[in-house]
Amino acid sequence: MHHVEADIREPLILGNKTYHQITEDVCAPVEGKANKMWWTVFTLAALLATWGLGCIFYTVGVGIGVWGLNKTVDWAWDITNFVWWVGIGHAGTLISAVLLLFRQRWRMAINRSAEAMTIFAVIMAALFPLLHMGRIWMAYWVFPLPNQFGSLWVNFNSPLLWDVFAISTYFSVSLVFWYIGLIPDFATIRDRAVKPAAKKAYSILAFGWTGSAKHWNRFEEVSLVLAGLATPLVFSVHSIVSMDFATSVIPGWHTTIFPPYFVAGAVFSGFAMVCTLMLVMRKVLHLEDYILVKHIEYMNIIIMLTGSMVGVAYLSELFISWYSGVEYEGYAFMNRATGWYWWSYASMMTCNVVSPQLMWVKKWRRNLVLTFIMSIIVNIGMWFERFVIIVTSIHRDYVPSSWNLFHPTIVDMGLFLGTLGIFFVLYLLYARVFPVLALNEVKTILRTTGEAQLKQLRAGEHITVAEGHGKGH
Amino acid sequence: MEYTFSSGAKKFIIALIVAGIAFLGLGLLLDGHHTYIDKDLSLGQRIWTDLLGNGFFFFGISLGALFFLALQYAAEAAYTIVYKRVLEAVTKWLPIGLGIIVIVILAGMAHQHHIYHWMDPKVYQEFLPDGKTVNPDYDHIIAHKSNYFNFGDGDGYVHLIRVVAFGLIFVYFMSKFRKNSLLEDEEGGTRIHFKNITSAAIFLVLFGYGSSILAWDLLMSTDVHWFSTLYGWYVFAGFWLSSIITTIVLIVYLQSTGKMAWVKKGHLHDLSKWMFALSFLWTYLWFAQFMLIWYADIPEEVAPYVARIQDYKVLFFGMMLINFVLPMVGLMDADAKKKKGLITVIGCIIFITHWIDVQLLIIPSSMKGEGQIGLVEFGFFFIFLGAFLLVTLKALAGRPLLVKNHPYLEESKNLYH
Repeated sequence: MHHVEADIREPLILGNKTYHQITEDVCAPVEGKANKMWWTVFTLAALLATWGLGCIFYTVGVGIGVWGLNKTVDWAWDITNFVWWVGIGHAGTLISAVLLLFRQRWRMAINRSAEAMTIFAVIMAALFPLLHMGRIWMAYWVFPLPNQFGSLWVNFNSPLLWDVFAISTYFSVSLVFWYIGLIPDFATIRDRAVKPAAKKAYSILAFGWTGSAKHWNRFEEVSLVLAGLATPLVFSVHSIVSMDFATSVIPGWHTTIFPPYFVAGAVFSGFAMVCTLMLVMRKVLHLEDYILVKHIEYMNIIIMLTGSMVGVAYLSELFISWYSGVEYEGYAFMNRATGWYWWSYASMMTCNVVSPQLMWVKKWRRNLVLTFIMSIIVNIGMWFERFVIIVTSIHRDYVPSSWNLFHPTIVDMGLFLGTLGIFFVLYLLYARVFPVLALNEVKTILRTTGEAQLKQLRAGEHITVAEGHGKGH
Repeated sequence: MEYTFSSGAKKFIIALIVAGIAFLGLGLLLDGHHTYIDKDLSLGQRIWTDLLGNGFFFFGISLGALFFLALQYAAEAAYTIVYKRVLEAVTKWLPIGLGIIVIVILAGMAHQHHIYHWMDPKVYQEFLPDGKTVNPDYDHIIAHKSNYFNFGDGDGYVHLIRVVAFGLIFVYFMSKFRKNSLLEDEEGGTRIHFKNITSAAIFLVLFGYGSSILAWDLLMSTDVHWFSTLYGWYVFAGFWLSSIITTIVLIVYLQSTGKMAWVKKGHLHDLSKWMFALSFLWTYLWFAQFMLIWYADIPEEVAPYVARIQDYKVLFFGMMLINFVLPMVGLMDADAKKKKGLITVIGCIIFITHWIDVQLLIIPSSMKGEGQIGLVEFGFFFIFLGAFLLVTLKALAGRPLLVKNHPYLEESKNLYH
């Protein structure tokens, strides 16, 4: 097939790479030893994780009273963190599934790590509803299992139950999708492994992959099917999370734009987290030739786009709260913007709507330091978004006796920071033993988007991939 | 290669318009003497309602195509370049659609119809002129919104200015993109392309706000007591889908006359994927809005749904189910998305359901319990469709069917074989 690449397209892989060189570059972190930087970050993350685990055991052992639960608003911490983590767990599947369906080749540099991040983030999210049950050993009661407890049965009318189904389905599909993508790359590592133990481990993980044409054929078919399945799931998960709020008649929660606006917000925060991780990873693991400034720029554009969509939604809510003439809605939003918690509303607006507008400037969205800071600001903003929605609506309930301000306890804080710690521990371990780039997929775009190959193409020469072709595989 | 407006196409359009006039005439004959129970309703109200319904529907198609065109620039996409001229032609109707909408608004301001209840100055006065007697027509909910629509006396200027301002902004970008497209043919290079990317980004921002605001102003305010934050996005998803279907059908038509051989099956496949995906996006938004309002069951919020379900149950749920089930069953398969006949048939059915959708956004509000979708409405639909096709095909004939010098042209041509 004659392929034409427009002249104004930038390369997606830098340098004069060979297929073998790609294998070498991606396998290096797995085969080599961890450097000092990795150990430093890992130690920090492990410390945080330890604190978190301590708080988890303390919560389970003593009971959820340690969260200071007294009034409804006190649950805010748990719910905020749950929604924040689920939101972050959105970008992975979006990058792999939606961008695969759109045949966006730039996804190949980031999809593997984005999917890994998704899976770890969803696990962190799941911790919060599990812990809030108090008696965690009864967690299986959320499933509609036949039982002998008399009238005990799940409530199908409750969005919380829909959440159980949506998130577990999303998690399963994301996990399978991620794993299938990993199989050919595990096989590459297996074939290169020197130590018998590693060889054994990777050959189990590689499921007997041989790289035959038939395997590739099956691989591509199943990837497309899973992408097709995963795309509606990206929508359903956060839509249903939003329905946890929007189906109720609490002012500030019951608004129809919630489902799509939560999805946009989730993609927004997910991409920001991917940006944070990628910027660190490309430096530490020396992947600057694969994760280019162009990739970061694309991600920043998506962050700007979804941030602006969230901004339209915020303003729509604000406007309709007035337009509707419903006093309760009007008060809820007025109170959000100017009441006790005005600072959290202001933080949310600044971080989520105003600051992404910096990305209009090409120079800024290609600036890595600024991007790194921005990605963290966005995630702070998205944490505040959930905090604003939950706390401002609940701290001035219909019943004045439940009016209260929100104070996190030390255990609350430990749980949140702890999940950050556990998340980074898992991610850092992943970066050491898994191929962090879809190396076999990246090879498929080398001929059309490699820097040296593009030069040949544009000069009208025959495209060659220098010696090393097919080796190391 | 040029498209010449063939006599066959002209005959088809004339037939459409004649059929429309016949339907309309027959409808007026059979139904013109209908007496309405509500004093605000009349045959005139019905005709103005249909002008708004069709005016918005076809305006939306052009606006959807303009949005899609801008999206291609912003996304650095190549796959649409081979049929970019078709997209450009679909946008040509935009000023005419806007004109019709503005006429409907002006007629409302001159009290020729009562589609917009908030244009009635009586609802804003709490007391009758004597200053003591309570005004029976006073509506405190509308009075609360008075600053949004007008300056408190029912003249509607604020509303009119907003609609015209956003409308003209969109028309400006439409003519700019169309002009630049021809200019690029002559000039070559990448200067115009990069300028278009910037314009597209600015347009998309304005569109993000404008599309929601126009939907609130033109459609949602026909039910002035009602409100829904999702409304704008819901309406947008519908007209975006209609514009994709229009593009597909036009390409299939052009290819049937032996033109546009450079549009390969793969290109059509891409467009079918959009049709497939947007049908689900629209259904998703339909469900999100409906479910949340149904679930909370707050009287003020459910009222419009109650009106639609009582009087238009089959159409209301039918159009949603067709939108959801038909693409799922008919277009799931990759090969099905490349079959011209199949995508045309499915596209036309979905297109009609969206016409019904837009009518159902307005008719039950403006005609209260006494509206219908009958011969008069079909008559207007055919007349509008004919006029829309006339403008679009003339726009197509006015310039070469393939762009020249677009930086992605060769890539786009060679994407599929």
